[in-house]
Amino acid sequence: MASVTLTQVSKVYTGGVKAVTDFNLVVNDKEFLVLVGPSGCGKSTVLRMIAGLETITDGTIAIDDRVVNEIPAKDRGIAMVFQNYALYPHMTVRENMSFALKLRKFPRAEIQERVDEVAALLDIADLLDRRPKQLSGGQRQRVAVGRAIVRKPKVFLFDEPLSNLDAKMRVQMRVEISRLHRRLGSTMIYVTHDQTEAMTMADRIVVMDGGHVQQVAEPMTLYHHPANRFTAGFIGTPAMNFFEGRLRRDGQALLFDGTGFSILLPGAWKEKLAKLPDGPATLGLRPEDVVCLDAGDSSECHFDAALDVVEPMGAETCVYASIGGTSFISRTDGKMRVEPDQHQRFRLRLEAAHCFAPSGEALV
Amino acid sequence: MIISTVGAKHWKTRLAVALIYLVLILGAVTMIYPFLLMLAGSVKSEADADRITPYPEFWFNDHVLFQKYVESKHNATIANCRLAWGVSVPSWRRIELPEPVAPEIIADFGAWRETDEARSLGLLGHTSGARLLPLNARLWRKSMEDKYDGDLRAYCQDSGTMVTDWTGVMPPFEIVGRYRLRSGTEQSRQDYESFKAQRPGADLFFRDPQANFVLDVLSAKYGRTIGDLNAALGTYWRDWDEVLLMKEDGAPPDPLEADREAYLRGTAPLQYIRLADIPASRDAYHRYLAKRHGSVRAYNAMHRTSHTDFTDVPFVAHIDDDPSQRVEWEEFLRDPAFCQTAWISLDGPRERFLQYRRAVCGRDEAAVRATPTLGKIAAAVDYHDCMASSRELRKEFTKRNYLHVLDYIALHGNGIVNTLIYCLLAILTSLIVNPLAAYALSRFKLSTTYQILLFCMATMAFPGEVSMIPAFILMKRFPLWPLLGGVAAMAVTYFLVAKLAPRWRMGRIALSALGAGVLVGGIILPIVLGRDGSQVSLLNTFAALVLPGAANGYFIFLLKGFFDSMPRELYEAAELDGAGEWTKFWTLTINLSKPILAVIALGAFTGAYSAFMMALIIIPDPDMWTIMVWIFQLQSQSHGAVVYASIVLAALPTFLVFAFCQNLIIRGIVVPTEK
Repeated sequence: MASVTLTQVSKVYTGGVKAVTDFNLVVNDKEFLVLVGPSGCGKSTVLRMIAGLETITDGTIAIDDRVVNEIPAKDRGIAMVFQNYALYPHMTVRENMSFALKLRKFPRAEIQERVDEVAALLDIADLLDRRPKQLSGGQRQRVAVGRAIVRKPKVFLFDEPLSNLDAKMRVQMRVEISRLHRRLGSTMIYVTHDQTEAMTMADRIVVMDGGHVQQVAEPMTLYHHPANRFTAGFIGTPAMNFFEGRLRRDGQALLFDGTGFSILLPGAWKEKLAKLPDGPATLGLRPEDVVCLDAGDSSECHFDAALDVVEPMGAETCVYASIGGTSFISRTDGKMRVEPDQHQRFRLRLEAAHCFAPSGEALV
Repeated sequence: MIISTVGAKHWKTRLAVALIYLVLILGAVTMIYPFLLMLAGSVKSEADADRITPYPEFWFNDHVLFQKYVESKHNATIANCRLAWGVSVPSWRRIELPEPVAPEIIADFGAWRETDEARSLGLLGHTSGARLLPLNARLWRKSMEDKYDGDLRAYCQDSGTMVTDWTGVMPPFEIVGRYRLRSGTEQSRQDYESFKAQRPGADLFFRDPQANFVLDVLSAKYGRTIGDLNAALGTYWRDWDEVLLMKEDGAPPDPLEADREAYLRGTAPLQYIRLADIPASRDAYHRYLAKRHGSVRAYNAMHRTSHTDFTDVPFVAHIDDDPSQRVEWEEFLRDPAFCQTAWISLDGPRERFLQYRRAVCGRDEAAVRATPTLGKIAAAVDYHDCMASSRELRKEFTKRNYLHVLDYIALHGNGIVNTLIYCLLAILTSLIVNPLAAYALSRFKLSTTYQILLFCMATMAFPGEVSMIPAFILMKRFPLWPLLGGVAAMAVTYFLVAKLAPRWRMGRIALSALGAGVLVGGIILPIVLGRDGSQVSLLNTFAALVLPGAANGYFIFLLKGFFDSMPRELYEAAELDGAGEWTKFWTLTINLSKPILAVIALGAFTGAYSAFMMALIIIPDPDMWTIMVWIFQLQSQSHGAVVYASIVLAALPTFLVFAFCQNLIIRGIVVPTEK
């Protein structure tokens, strides 16, 4: 199988729009790598450059140590699955799947064999004589995947392949693609804007924003140790709560003055925050780390806040509240009874908190 | 459905729906009514041309049918009808139904007209029309084609005519005036005689001397009504029928004796005159000859005979006895000093018919005497014939003009073949050229795409007529060799540069190829070959018909829009699958554009099929003419009704194509979106 190496890759479109800047990445052999980021972050551009559908303005892309910058798409040994499937509407499923092999002049028997094999693998053997119009969205996507597999490419590229499916089918296909990855053991690069997909499927995730890599890490590392405020805010649902405030050193004590509350930060942070002078800083806490205290709970309370909306979801309840103009979300046990429009006491679990410098860099 | 089903029963909604239907029906009527007028017009002739009805009136109206029948029977010549019927006929439309005559007379006349005698006196009707092709003319043409087995030159030789194709073959003229005249050679006269013998007696009409005398001599001299005549002569006739050219034996003299004699001697058709063959008349004739020629030798010299004496010269009682004596006989008849009035008798159709009644039908003298004038009989018999075969006549009149056109088109079969080839070539070229151009514009984002499209649109702003003359000149002096040389130079340069400088960008290679092409085709070859050497005339070729319309701005615009709507991913997927540009164009684009291509093909077909002006200008050679040009030729020599029929027939193929391709057209207009 194959590895993909991108070195100092940039893409500037005619008209001067910089889509990707100084992109460095090594995709290991047999890795499932997910590129994730908001719309327009350049993730699709990276994928299309790897595919050979876009020219590379600067830098090099290598597949298996072979620089492919000037090699046409069809000779790069890659296959791509598109968001809208891009099946040939006038061909049957079998013709769709065998088209690439036919163009490469494979013997007929081998084409037949490969298509049948892949069809069995994807459970679409009984659809082979249908046309794309006669298929459901999930079936079409399966055919699109099958069309990619048949070619036995070195690298699979997925460009938001599940976006056109309904929620249920999306979950199902997600699992199937993961399973397929394990079975085929091939390198896959997957672009999505859905961080759930990224978290559940990826071996490693590349978070992108504004054409830059924000962080490359395994899913859990990304969740628990975001490198910066963007990654912290992008990964996780509901998103991380950010409290703006000021850092204050009072003798030995390290204090954080938020709007409407002030708390003592753990002593262990002193070292990590040594670079950061007194002044503006951001405290970041995931919703599950903002604890909503029961009336009878006597543990330490950090502040009182007015509840805004309560979303009971069964196993857990999301509580929307605000303090000093800063809205935040707390995720609590579903058994807890809270009513909107009342005051509630909250405690921040500082052992799981993050602190960001004004530049966005995560210091804790 | 735009109107929601909820609230559909409200009266306002219903009113709106009713109004919409009303407007639609109105629209349909305004479309269909002129179409019906044209259909009805296509089966008309001069007799009913100005009856504007949405259906052919003669289908239901016997009177109109009779007028058409009379027109056709008398070869669309009013004078023929006037002399046959003995009444003045201002126009076919004013023909009234004739007075009936006794069935016994109709039966006798019907029998008589089938005799050889009647055939030799009568003229054949339905042989020529006012730029129409009636039944007998059609049959004559057919019989001549059969006889000569399609060999037009043999026919021309035998008939002494000069026609360029079978549509020019018409029955010989036959005129009975003072003299009996026929066009054509002896051979064609014989053919016509035998043709005439096969046609039913009902097709014959007779020129009645009585009518000739009354209408042309007396009316002209004394006035149009019988009252004028009575006033002039002091007589008491009740109507013109009493003013007989040949009085009954023993009738008292009247003031018209001089007119009668003058008519019989000087005006009546010689064919109808008979002289009494008695010793006195023979003697008078010989004396007349002696006076005229002086000696028998002079007579012999003139007539190439060898008579020893004038008494040997045979007496001519009727012109048919010896047509070579015509001049002598006619002069003798004119001269009252030799030819006595009592010897001259009329021997026209009426006299023969009366004799026939007397001798063959065995009618008694009183019945024979009571026989009306020939004109009255003819009119009544015409009406009788018309009613007896009204079904056939209606059919004949309905199909006549269409047969005329079909006959004409069939005789110009190369027109059909040419049109077929032209249409096919036009469809083929526009299906190749336009999609290629549109594909290039759609797939490759040139910096000048907008300007090129604007140019395409601009071509639509000018009417086709504007480019007609330039196109003609271009086709006449087509720079074929520089063009081919330029294309070849372009191809060679492209491959050479692509090989030698592989690092060059596509645009640069294309630009250098273009430069080489222009250099070779535009400058070098024209200089080397000279003006005459480099130019070729494409006139009279299909290339000249097809090339000017091969690329169509509208089609390119339409196709580009369609290609643009195809998902980009499809092409990207194809690219990853390893498809080259040609595969992407042919396997993908063309396959997915069938509906719009059908629309283009349809447009190319209608354009080519209906092309007339261009086809006429660019193709001077009749062998290469298309149907439209032939139909134009037909129109210039045909009655308006035939023109209508030709238009209806010419519209049929387009109509059929549109009727069967409706779905395609609609699919082409509503651009399908692939989901």
